Parts: sequence; C-alpha cells; structure tokens
Amino acid sequence: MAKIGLEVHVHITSLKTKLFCSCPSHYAGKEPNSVVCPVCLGLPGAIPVPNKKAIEEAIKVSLALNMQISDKVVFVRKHYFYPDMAKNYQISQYDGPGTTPVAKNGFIKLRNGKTIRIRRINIEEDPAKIVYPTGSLLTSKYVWVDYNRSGIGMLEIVTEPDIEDPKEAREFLEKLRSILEHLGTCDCTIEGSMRVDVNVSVPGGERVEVKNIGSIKGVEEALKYEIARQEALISQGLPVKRETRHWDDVRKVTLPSRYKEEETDYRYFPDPDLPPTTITENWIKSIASSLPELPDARIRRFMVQYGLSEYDATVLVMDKGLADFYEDVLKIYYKPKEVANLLINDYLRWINEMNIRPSESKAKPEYIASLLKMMEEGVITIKIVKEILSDVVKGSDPRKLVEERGLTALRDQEFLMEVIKQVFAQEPDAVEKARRDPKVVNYLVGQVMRRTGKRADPYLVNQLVRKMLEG
Amino acid sequence: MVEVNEELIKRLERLSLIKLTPEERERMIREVKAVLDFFDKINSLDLSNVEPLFHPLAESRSREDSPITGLSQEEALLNAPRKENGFIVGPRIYSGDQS
Amino acid sequence: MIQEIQRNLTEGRLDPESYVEAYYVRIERREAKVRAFITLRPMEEVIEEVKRSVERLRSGRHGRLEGILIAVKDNISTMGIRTTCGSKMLETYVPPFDATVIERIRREGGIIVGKTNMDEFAMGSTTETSYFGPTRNPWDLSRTPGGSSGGSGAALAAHFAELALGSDTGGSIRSPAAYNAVLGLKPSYGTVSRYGLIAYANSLEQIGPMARNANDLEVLYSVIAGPDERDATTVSAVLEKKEVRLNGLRLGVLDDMMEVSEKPVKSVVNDVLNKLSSEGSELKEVKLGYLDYALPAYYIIAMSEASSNLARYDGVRYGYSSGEEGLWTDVYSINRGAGFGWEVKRRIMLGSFMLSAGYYEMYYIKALKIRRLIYDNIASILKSVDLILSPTMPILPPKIGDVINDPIRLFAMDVNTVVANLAGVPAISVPAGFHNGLPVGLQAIGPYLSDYSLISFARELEKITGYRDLTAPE
Repeated sequence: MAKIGLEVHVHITSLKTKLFCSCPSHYAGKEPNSVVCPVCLGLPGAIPVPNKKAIEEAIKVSLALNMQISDKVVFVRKHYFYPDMAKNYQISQYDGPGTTPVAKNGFIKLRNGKTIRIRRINIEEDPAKIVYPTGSLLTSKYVWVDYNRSGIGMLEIVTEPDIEDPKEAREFLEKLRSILEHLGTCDCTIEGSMRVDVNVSVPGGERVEVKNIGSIKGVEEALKYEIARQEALISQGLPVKRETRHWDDVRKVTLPSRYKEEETDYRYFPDPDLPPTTITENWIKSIASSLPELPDARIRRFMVQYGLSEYDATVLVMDKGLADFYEDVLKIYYKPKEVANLLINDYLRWINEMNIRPSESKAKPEYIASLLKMMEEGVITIKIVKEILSDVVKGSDPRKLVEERGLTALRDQEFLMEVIKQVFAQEPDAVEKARRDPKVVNYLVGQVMRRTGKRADPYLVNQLVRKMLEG
Repeated sequence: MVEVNEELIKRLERLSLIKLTPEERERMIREVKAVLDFFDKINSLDLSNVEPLFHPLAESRSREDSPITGLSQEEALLNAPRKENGFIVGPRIYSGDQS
Repeated sequence: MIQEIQRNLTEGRLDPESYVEAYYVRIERREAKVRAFITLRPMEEVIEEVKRSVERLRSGRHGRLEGILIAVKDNISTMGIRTTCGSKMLETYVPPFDATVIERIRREGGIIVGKTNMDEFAMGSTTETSYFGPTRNPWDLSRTPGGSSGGSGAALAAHFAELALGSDTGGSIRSPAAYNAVLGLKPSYGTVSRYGLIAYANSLEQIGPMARNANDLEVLYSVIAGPDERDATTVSAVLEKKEVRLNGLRLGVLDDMMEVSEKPVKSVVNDVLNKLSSEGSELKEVKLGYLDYALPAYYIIAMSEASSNLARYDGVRYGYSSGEEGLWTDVYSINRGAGFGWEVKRRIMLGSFMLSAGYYEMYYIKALKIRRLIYDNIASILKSVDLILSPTMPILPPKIGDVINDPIRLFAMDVNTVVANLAGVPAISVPAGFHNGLPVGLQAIGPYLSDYSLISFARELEKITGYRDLTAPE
C-alpha cells in the first residue's frame, strides 16, 4: 500500500481577468508579451489588486469540498528567484503567523465510501511561461519568457496522503474535476488548466515528489511507474531517498529533477500591498444558495429521475460534458436507460480510444437520438450502430451515413436464407459441429453477418440458422 | 544573539542573490552585526500579550472582473535588455552539463 | 503662489517664456552645485506646455494646477521620462505608464519640470546614497538637504519649481521639508495612491506634497489624494476640510522627542511654541513611550519589506544587466551586486535575514507588536490633545559625509519621524525658524484622516511666523 498525496493546481478559467490585474485572462494564441500590464509584468511601482470574483470562485469550491472557510482572505509573498517570476515572489497563501489559506479541512468521498481529506485550498497566481529557443531545455543557452500567463488566477488544492493506489488517485481527480466543471470554476478541457504534483512513498522508503503532471491519465501512469520503481529499490535493499522528480510523458518514466535544488527558504510574510479581505457569513450564504447542481446531487437525481443504477449515473456524471450530452439527448429522445447504455459503453469507449474528452466529441445530441431511433424502428441493427459510432463521434450525421453506405438492416427472409445457404455450403464442418454444439451457431451467425456487411438482423439470422440446422 | 560571521553573510548572499566581493563581505559582517546589535534592544520588551499590527489598514480594496487593455507588446519589451521574437530573454535554467 | 501665478498668466502679466525662463535661469545658476535633479526637461518643451495651459486658463475651463511647474521625486513613475530611483539599477529605465498621482496632476494641468534626486531606492535620510551623487542644501552647500526626497526639498528652496512631490517611508518628505524651510506632508496612510511609486516599504510609505506655502500644499494634496482602483491600500473615506483656530487648540508637545533633539533645535522649536502659546493654544507635555523601540521596529519592518520589493530587480525585464550569460542564479547575483549601491545591498540582506525561517518571529513579528503599541499610544494621546508637536529632526542639517558612514547615526536621524509611518497617521513639517542660517522644522502629527487640519494649522502658523515662500539666498 502506498501513501499518496496530491497537490492540484487549476486555472480559474471562469475569470475574465487575471488574479491581481485587469489584463484579460484568455491569452491562447496571442503574441507573446501582448496580454500584460505593469502589474503582471512586475514593473517597478506596480501593485496588485485582488479579483473579487476569484475569491467567490474559491468560496464556491470550498463549499463543494466541504471545507472550513476562513473569515478572511490573506495573501502572502512566497519568495524565490526564477526567470518565470515577474517579481521573484509569487503571491499565494500560507498557514502561519498572521496568515491563513482561504479554506481548510475538507474532503471528497470516493465511490466505495472512502474519504480523501483535503488539507487546504490556496488562491495564488501563475508564473510566466518559459520557452526554449532551441526547443530543448538541455541545449538552450538562454530562455525565452512570455508573461501572458503571468498573474493568471489559480487554486491550489492539497490533499492529505490518504490515497493508497494509482486508481484511487485517478478516481479522486476525476471527481474533483467533475466538481470544478459543474461549478463552472474550471473548464478543464482547456490545455494546461490542471497540473498535478504527487507525493508518494512506499513502506520503508521516504517521500518522493513528482512535479508538474499535466493530465489525470499522466498522474495514474506516473504513480504506477514511481511505486514500482520505489518498491524495486526497497526489495533490493536500496534506500528510497527524499527527492523531487518530474514525469516524462513521452518516455513514460519519472526522472530526477535537473534543476539546482537550493535550500528554499520562501520567507513567507503577509503581502503588505494586500490587507486582508473579509469573508462574511452573508457572503458565504449567498454563494451557497446559488451553487449549481453538484456531481453527487446530480448522480442521485439521475438515479431517481431516470432510473439509472448508481454505477451508470456515476460514470455519466464523472464527466460533466458527458452528463450534459446525455441530458441533451434525452430532450430529443426520452429513453433514459437506452441512451445511458449506449453512451456509457460503446460511445465512451470510442471517446477514450481517441484520447479526447466527451465535450470534445463532434457528435450532436440529435445524432445519438437518430441512431437509437433508427435502431428502435428496425432500420439498422445494433451492429451497425456500433460500427458507425466512431464516425458519429467525428461529426458525421448517422442518417446520412446509413443512406450513403447503404447500411439499412436486412430482414428480407428470402434474401437471408440465400446467404445462409451459401455459408452452410462453404462451412460443412461448422454446420456438423453446430448441430451438436450450440456455441458454434454463433460462428455461423457471424459468417452470415460478415457477408451482409453486418446489416443483417442478428436475432433473425440466429433464428433462421437454427431452423435450417434442424430442418 | 545571532552569530554574524562569513557563513551567515554567504548564506544571505545566496538568499538575496547578491554577489559581494571579499572586501565587501568583510564590511557587511561588521555592519550587519552593528545593526543587529542596535535591534537587540527590542528583546528587552515583554510583548507576549501584544497582537502584531501587520498593516495600518484593516481591509483591502478588491476589483471587479472586467478586462482593461494593458500594455502593447512594444511597451512591454521597451526596457528589456535582451528580446527576441517578442519574447524577453532570460538566463539559462539548466544547471547540468551543456555539452 | 498657485492662484497668483495663474492670475498673472491669464491676464498676461506673465508670458509663458519669461515665466518658465525665470525658473531655468535659477537652475542654470545654482543646479551645478545643488544637484537637485537627475533628469531635467528641456525648457522649450515646458514652455510649450505652459502655452497650452494659458489657453485653458483663458478659456475658463482649466485644472487646479494649470501651468504650475512641479518637481517629481525620481521614484514616482512618469511615462516616457526616465525614472531611476537614484540607482544604477534603473539608470536607463523609462516607465511605459504614469503613476496615478502623475495622471491626476497632468489632468489638472500640472507640468513636470524634472525628476529629482533621492537616496537610492529611498533608503537614507540625507540624499547621499544616490548613484548620481549627493544633493546639496541650498541654504548651506556644505550640508545635506535631508532625505530621501532631498532633491525635491532643494528644488523648492532654490525655487527651481513651485511645487514638488516626495515620498515618505520614515520621514523622507518631512526631513527635506525641515532642512529646506519648506512644507511637506506625509499623508494619512491610504489617502494617496501608491500605484506607480517604486516601492521601498509598502505598509509605511506614502507619496506626499511639498510646497513653499500652506495654500499651495493644500491644492497639490487635494489633486493627488483620493481612492484608486489600482491600489488595494487606498481608503474611500472622505477627508474633512476643517479650519483650525490656534486659540484654544490643544497641542501636545512630545517630551521624549524634545529630549533627544540637540540644543539649537530645541531652542528654535521652543520659540515657536511660545508664539503658539501667545496665540491662545494650550500646550501640554506628553510622552509617547517606546520611542527607544520605534527606530528598531521601523527599520526591521522597512528592511524586511524592502528585501522583498527589490527582489524583482534582476536585469531581465528591465534594469541593469551586466550582459553575462550563465545560470540564472549567477547572472542575477552579478547584476544585483553591480546594480545596487552599498546601503541598498545592506538593507536587502538584513531584510532577507529577518524574514527567514527561524528569525521571522524574533524580528519581524516583534517589530509588528511594537508597531501596535505605538499605534495605540498615539491614538490614546490624540484623545486628550488635537495635535502632537515635536521637532521634525533631532539635529541641524548635517555636513555632507558626516553621518553617511555610520549606519546607526544615520538611523537615529529618523527618531522623530518614523512614529507617524508606523501608526499610519498624517504628519506635517513646517518651517519653525533658523539657527545660524540653518533651517529647523516643526512637526505636527494629527489623528488619522486629519490631513486638512494639519494643513490648516500650518497656514495659521505661517501667519504668525511669516515663514512662507522662503528662498535660500545664493
């Protein structure tokens, strides 16, 4: 059993401006250093002013994570020199004399009822972006810095080391992400909007930190790798010493950190440009009363309103994009169980294989509705549904596909009998075996399906094959 | 009282990223010691029941979430000693072998 | 006087060229010795701006500072005009934005004549730590003009400008005001925006007005004061404009501060106190207590905040760069070692030390507790008196070179002034008199947000002393 703690950094993507200045917060695709001002550039004389909405978002998240919310927001300066730091200190939060995080002591419950405790939530600013002129850290004699990202508002969410294996870490992060997306605080489909540092130790070894993992999948993979690496060392009688590593997502390994690890004394102290901001009970109450539907509540509603199992409801809700899509389909085609079944199984499988998130799928709700309607009407078979689903995900209208490719279900018994006769002729051994072993019937049915481009109604074919075997 | 010696000053040089010459370091040791001696008198006060006053103001202003155009790229780069392709040039961060 | 100048310009008694030339002639005659400016604007540019001001004056729609020449301390950002902070580190830095106070001054028609010399990054009390060399006191060129806004004070004493801006972290406006026989106000904390003020110690400092008489001081203050969306430490409170009458005014004279002041200073101040008495003011002796601890507390807080504020100077986005290539830790160390002067380096190191793990509680937190005691004591004294009085500076203007090499003696110059910064309350220095031709200032400290009352007090005092619009003889 490993001991795993997570530090999750998320961009507050719902903000229109940066955390401490009024620069626009959306800088994707912009020229470097074109979305900056004296404050986020760290010019002499520039001072920060906190974004009220950022504090509101922090309160929303704190409520959703069952945290104890502080009665005031206190910002600190965290000092360290680095080329991506506009002021060589980051404005953040801390738990010390005269300072406090915006919220402490919360939790997320996993499916099996296990509680993962959340130690604190900090509001903090993002540093600038470093780019390597030669494309590689190793060969660049200097760096290029783009301050467009400098000052973007972030939340840092830190757990206690309650997580025990990579799968739990993944589930925790998916639930956290779903909560953030349901709140609207973070649209985590935006690249770079969620970064995770993991702390992991195995019995007999010290804690290793793996920094800056950019995806939930990456976290699971990094943890798997790192735990195996540590356990291997332990079993060879070698020490696992405390260190910082980083995750190489291409080679799928963790590597020791290349940067000079100076003893970092951050010299935290309350930022003298930012007196405290009071969080009143009323403010919290008004935010609490206008919170949108959160994942746990939505899961329960899906179970009650649509009669779904807890498992199915959870799979849908764990990705907000999928849950929204589901309900959009239901608006057109109200068959909750059928739609859920299709989305959770085949649809989601394709999504995962394409390595995208459900909200990035180009399928429209009416496409899913069409598929299921056509199947219900007997126009196409389930096999055809499964076959064209990937194209639907890529944005093709299923009705058009069925027409263009001629995929309508074959139910003409006469025609099917002809095909079955052909199969029987070519597979005499199988026919022999099928008379004794019912499982081989499936093989024959499969052959018929193949010759009909899977358009035959498999149920009907099955019936006809059996009849023919008997007859 | 704190021991003010070369080791401390060297640590402060690393902490503040200020490089001193050996002569400057000697002078810094003397003067830092003199100043800390001067500060030492605050230790004669019993402050155990006093709350620190972090800031003369009790409450911060905050700001609405409305975008305002900031600097142009040209203005942002105006004072940078080195710039390339719209980026500001910063020093190397890789501390390993450059070969 | 602002209104007089504006009237003369409007009615044609003064034409823009001779008006501006008068200042530049004085500058030409004395600036080589005084060295008040780091950057002086070309006369032709200033004349052009005055011409536009005159048009506005004549149209009847003009700003409160229309046509008036203002000297600005070189730690206040002025767009397009070099802003050096008296340091090699920013020797060529040109801000792409105006400080809020500059925006307000421009909007009211004020004209910037130049950027004035100062102690490097405002760290000092004599304007001797400037990278550009010291400013000399126009009243006695062998002496300092006070600091850190020494250039602004000297510019007023030599009449190089009509108004000036300074900044005051521990006395940096009041010290040059006292030593140059002009007026200087350290405003109530939070009444003047710090946006654009190159920071030394954020929880202590304010930009403030300096002038040759109380009326001008009031106009300048009213233009720059007021809440600012871009400064989270400004307050929305409206300041009351109160007229102060000397008769019946309750004045508390700070015993502890009188005690630490040298005899000539005490003597000049006592003369003024007697005059106040004759006008019917009630004088009583008060004691601050903790004065011994105020200086260490002030310097601990100031140095700690400074070490943090000056971390940004690394030669990457702006500032001195040695051109070395290498690892960032080496490059930064070289740039900062070469770009900063000695006083600055020492304060940064001390500040980093006091914020570091293990010493934070011992120094910084303790200093904040002393700050609380002083804050409470001042508030308490001001319950029984209307204003607190003391000499602004404990000594006469020192000779150049005298105090600069002894850090503790340098610190000690601030003993009377730091208290107001620690507590956030307003404090003004007004000319009290002279000793052997050397100016002595009287400091008045008022309750929080009583800035206009202090200015009113200064105006009343002017009436009885006659010390206004004083120009140092050449």
